[in-house]
Amino acid sequence: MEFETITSIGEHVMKSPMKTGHLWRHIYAWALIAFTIFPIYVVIQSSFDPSGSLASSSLVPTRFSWKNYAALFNNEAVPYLTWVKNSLVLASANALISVFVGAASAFAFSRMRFRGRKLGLQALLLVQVFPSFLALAAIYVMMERIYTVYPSIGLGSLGGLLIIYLGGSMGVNAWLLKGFIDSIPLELDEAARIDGASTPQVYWLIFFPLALPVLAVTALLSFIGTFNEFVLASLFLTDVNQRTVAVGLQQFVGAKFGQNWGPFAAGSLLAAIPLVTLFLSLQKYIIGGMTQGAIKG
Amino acid sequence: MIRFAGFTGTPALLLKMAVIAISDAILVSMLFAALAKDQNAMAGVIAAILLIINFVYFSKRTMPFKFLAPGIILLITFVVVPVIYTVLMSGFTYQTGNEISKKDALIQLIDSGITADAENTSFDTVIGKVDGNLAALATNQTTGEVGIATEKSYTPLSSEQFTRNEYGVAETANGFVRLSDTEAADADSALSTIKFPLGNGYFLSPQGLDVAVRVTQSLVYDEASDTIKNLIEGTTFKDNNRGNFANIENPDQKLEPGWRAYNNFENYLNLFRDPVVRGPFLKVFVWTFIFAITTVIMMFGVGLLLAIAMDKKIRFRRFYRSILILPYAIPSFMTILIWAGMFNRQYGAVNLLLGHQVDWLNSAILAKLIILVVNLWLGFPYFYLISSGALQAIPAELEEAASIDGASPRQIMQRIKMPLLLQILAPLLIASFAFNFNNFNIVYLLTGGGPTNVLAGETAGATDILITYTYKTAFGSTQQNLGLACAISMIMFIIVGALSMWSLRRSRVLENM
Amino acid sequence: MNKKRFGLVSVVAVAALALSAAVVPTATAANKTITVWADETRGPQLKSLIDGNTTIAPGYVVKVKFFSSFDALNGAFDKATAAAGPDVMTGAAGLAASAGKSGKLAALTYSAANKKEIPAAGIQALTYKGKVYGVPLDVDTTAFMWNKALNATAPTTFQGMVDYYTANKTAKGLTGGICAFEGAWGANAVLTALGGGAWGFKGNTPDLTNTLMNSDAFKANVKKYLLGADGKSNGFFQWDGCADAFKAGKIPFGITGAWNMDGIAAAGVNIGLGATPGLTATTKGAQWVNYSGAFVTSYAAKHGVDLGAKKLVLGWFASKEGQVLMSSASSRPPANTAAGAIIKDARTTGIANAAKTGTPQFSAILDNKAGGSNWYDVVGSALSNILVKGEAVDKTLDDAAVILKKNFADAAKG
Repeated sequence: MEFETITSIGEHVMKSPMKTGHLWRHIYAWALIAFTIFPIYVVIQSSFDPSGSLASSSLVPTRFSWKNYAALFNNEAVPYLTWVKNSLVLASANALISVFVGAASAFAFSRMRFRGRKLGLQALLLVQVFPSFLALAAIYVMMERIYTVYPSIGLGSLGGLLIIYLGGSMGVNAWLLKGFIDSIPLELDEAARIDGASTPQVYWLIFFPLALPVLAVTALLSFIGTFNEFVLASLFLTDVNQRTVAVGLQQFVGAKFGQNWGPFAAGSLLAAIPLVTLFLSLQKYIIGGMTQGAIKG
Repeated sequence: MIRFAGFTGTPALLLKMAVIAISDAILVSMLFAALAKDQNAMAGVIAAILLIINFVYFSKRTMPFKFLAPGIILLITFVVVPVIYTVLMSGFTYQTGNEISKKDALIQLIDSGITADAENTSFDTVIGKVDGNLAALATNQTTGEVGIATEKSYTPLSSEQFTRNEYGVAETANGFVRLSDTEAADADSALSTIKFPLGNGYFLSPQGLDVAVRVTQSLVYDEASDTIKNLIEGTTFKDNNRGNFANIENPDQKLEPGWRAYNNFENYLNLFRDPVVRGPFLKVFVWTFIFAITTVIMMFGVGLLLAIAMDKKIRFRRFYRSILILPYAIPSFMTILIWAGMFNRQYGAVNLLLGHQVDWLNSAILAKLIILVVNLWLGFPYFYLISSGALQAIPAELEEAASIDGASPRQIMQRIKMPLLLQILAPLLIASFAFNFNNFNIVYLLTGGGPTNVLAGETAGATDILITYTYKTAFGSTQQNLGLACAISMIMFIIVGALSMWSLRRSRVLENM
Repeated sequence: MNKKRFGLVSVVAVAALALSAAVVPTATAANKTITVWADETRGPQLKSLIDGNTTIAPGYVVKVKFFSSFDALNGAFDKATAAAGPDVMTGAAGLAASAGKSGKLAALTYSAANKKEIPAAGIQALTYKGKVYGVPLDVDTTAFMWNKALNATAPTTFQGMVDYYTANKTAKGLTGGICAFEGAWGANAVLTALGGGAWGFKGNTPDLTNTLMNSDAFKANVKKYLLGADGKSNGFFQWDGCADAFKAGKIPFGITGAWNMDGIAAAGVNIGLGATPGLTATTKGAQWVNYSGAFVTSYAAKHGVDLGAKKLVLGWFASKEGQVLMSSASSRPPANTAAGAIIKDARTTGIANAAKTGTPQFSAILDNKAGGSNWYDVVGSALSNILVKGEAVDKTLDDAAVILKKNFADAAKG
C-alpha cells in the first residue's frame, strides 16, 4: 500500500515536464525511421521493377509490375511456400531448443558453484571468438560421414543442419542470458529453498517464469538469425524441396553473371513478414512487467 | 507462499526415466549403425556421449552438469572439434595441389600415369567373359580390326569368328559371352583397373563400357624406395616431405596431385617471411581494430538511446518498434547489396538524393565511412533489443527510491541505470566486438575490401579487415592455400582472444559473479 | 550407487535396448548411381534432361543434384570427400587446372570419335600438364551488341561508334557509348580493339613475354578514342555501372553474354549481335572465349561407377545429341562442332559467330597474382583510374604492365 502511494506521487511529480520531454523521443524515432526505411524503399521498388535490376534511375518508380511476385509462385522450380515452411520449422526448432539449452547452461553458470566454472565461461567466450569460416570444411566432412551412416541427420537434411546450428548456439545464448540471470535477486532462490524446493524445481518453477522476457528476446534473435543464415545452408541443402528461403532465393542471384534481383527482392520482402509478425506478437513478453509482478508478491 | 506440490515424486521420476530411455535407445541404434558401416571413430564418439549422459543424469553429485550436459556435448562436437582441426591444419602443407591423402594421391598418380600411343588408337568394345574371365571384344575405330583381349593376351579374330552390327562394331564372337548391362555395371570397379595387354608394353584401358584406348604405363611406383619412376623419360621422383613427389635432379619439378603433409608449422614462418602477405598485415589489423570498436560504440549508442526513448509509453510506440526492427528482419545478404547499389556513383539512390555524384566506393575514407554507416543500419535493432531487455531487468524500486531521495531523471540515468546496464551488457559488448572483428559479410559484400590501389602495388584494400584479407589471400580462385589460412586464423584468434580476455578482466565482470 | 539407483538404471537400460531393436536402420541397397553436380542455371536444365535416366549408361541410373548458386557449388566441391562427393562435376574450364592439380578429377582419354567433333581449343582449355580432365560443354563468351532502335545497322569501325555517340549525345540523351557488362573480363574486347589486351601472340601460341598493356599503340588509341581534349574520359566508355542505362536505351552499344540477354529483351531493347568493331573495317576486337566443362571425379572410382561416369561424360555430355539438347535449354553455343552445325537459334548462332573472333582464355595465367594482383583487378584498376578518376594514361598503363609482367612470368614457369 505504501509503495503504491509513493509511486503515484513520483509519477505525478514527473508528469508535467514529460510532455516536452517526450518530444525528443518522437523526433529521434522518426529520424531513425527515415534512416531505416530508405533502403527498404529501394528494395520494395526493386521488387516491382520488371527489369530485375537493383540500381534505379530515379527515386520515384517509373515501372510497375507484379511479375517478380508471380515468378515466386507460378514456377514449379520455385516451391516458395515449401521453402518458407522449411525456414519456419528450422528456425522455430532452433530457437526453442537453443533457448532451453542456453537457459539451462546460463542458470548453471550463474547460480551454481563448481570446479571449472570460471574457466568454462572464459572458454565459452574464446570459442565464440574463433574465426570459424575454415571450420566449414571440418563440419562438412563430419556431416558427410554421418550421412553414410544415418542419412536423415546427415548432409543434405534439415535435421543435420539443425544440429550444427545448435552446436554453436550454446556459447552465444549462455553469455547472452547470464547477465540477465545475474540480475535476478538471489533472495528468490533462497526463499524457495527454505520452502523445500530442489534445484530443478527452482529452475522450472521460479527462474523460468521470471526469465521469460529475456528468453523471448533470445528466442527471437535466434529465430531471425537462423531464418537469414545462408552460407552453411546453401552448402548443405541441395534438394530443392529441402531448401530454406534464404538458400532458395539465392538461385536468382547466385549465377556468376546475369542476376535477377526482382524475384529476390520480392521473396525477401515476403519472408520478412513472418519475422516482423513474430516480433510484434512477442512484444508483450519482451517489454513485460513480469519482473515487477514477482517482486511485489 | 509458493507451493511445490504436483510435480515431484513418482510422475517426475517416470518422466525422467522415459526421456533418458528414449535418448539411450536412439544413441544405441546409432552406435550399431556406425559399427556396421565401419565408422569406428563415430562409434567411439557416440559411445562416449552415451556414457556421459547416463552418468550425469543418474549420479547425485553432478547437478551443475545436468544443466550443462546438452550444451557442452553439442559445443564440443560441432565447435571445438572444427577448431582443433583448424589448429592441426595450420601445421600442414594444405593447398591446391596438396589436398588429398598420400594413399589417394599415389592411386591417382599411377592411374593417370598412362600415355596414349602416338595415333591415339581407340577401340569400340563389348565387355564379356571368355572361359569365365573378363574379356573385351574390341573393334579398332580406325582400321576396323577385331580382336578379343583378355588379361592374358590379345587374340586378333578373322572375319568368320565374329559378327558385326550395323555400325561395323563387332558384337558377338566364338567363345565370347557378353555381360548384361547390370552385370557390366556391377563389374565397374574391376573393369576400371583391369589391364588387357596388347603387346609391346601397351594395354587396353577401358574409358567407359564401350570405348577403350591403347595406352602404356609411363609411371611406376617402387614401394621399397618410395619413389616413382617415369619409364619414358627415365626420371625418378622422390617424396620431398612437403607433400609431393619431386624430381631428384630438379626439385622444382613436381608430380601432381600432391598430398597434405605435415610441414613443421612452416606456414607461420612464411607468414612473416612472405612480403606479399606480411606487408599489408599491420595496416589491415589497425583498421580492423578501429572498425570493430567504432562500430560497436555507434550501434550501442544509437540502440541504447532508442531503448531509453521507447522506455515510456508514448504514442505510436508499437508502430515505431515494428518499423525499427525491420533492418534486422530482412536478410542482411540482400540489404548489404542494396546499399552497395545505392552508393553507386552515377545511379545510386544516395547520390540521387544528394544531387551530387560522390564517389563513395572509390575513395578510401568515404568507403570506410559507408561501412560504418551500413553496419550501424544493420546492428542498431539488435542493440535496441538487448538494451531494452536490460532496462527491464533493472528493478523499478531502485529508480523509485532514488527519486524519493530527490534525484533528477538525468542523475538516475547516469548514476544508477548506466552502471547497471553496462554491467549486464558488458559481456555482450565484448562479444559484439569479437563478432565485428570477424564481420566478413559487411566488408566483402559492400566494398569487397576495396578500394585497392592495385597499380601502386597494394594488395589489401582500404576497407579490408583481417578476415576478408585472409579469405582473399587464401582462397584465390585457382590457388587456395588453406594451411596458410589456418595459420592466419590462429594468429587472429590469439590476438582477439587475448583482447577479449583482457577486457573481460578489466570490466571485472567475472569477479562480480 | 545404492540399490534403488541401480534398479532404476537397469530398468532404463533394458527399455533402451528394447526400443533400439525396434529402430533398426534399413540397409541401403547398393545401386549404381552416377551423381552429377551442377549450379542453379545448368542444374534444372540437366535435371529435366537426364535425371533418372537409365539408358545413357545402361546398368546405371543418373542422378542430378544442383546447388543454389555457383559459389555454393564450388564451395561444396572444394570440401567434398569420397563419402558424399559427386561422380560427375560441371563447372568452368578452370576447374581442370585447380581440381585436376589437387587430384580430385580423373584424367580422360578421348576416343578418335570424340576428337573428331570436339575443337582443339576446347580440349586445350581443359588440359592441365598434358592430361585432359573433362569435356567442353558450351562456349562461355561475350558478344558485341547494338541497340537496333537507336542504331539500325551494325557499326563498322570503332571510330564510327565514337562518332555516333558524340553526334547523338544530347539529341538522344545518351549517358554513354559502350558498356561492358562483365567488368574487366568483358572489357577485353574493347582493349583488344584498341591494340591492347593481355598478351601478344607468336603465331597461334601466347607470347607471355609480350605484355600489351602499355604498348605505344594502345596508349595512343586510348587517348584518341576514349579521352577528350582535357585528358579526361569523353564519356564513351562507361566504366562504373552502365547495365541499367543500356537496358533503359541510354547507351547504344554493349558487350555481354547469353545470360543477360533475357533481361535485356524484357527491358524492351531489341539488339543485334556481332563482333566488336576494330580500328578498321576488317579488324575486330577479340573477347575472351572460355568453356564450361563436365568432369569425371576421382570419387567415381571409389564409388564403383568410374566407367559408367566416363560413359556418361564421353558418351552423352560430349556427344552431338547431348550438346544439342543442352544448348536448346541454355541458349549457349555448344562446343561440339557437329552440334553447332545443327543449332539454328538466332541468339545462339550470333554468339557462336562472335566467338570465332575471340581469343582463348587461359584462366591459370589470368588468375595468377605473383605481381600482387591478378589480371582482372589490374585492368579494373587501370580503367577506373583512367576513365573515372582522370589520371594520366601513360603512367597508369606502365604501372599496370609492371604487375602483369610479373604475373605472366610466374605463370610461364608452369
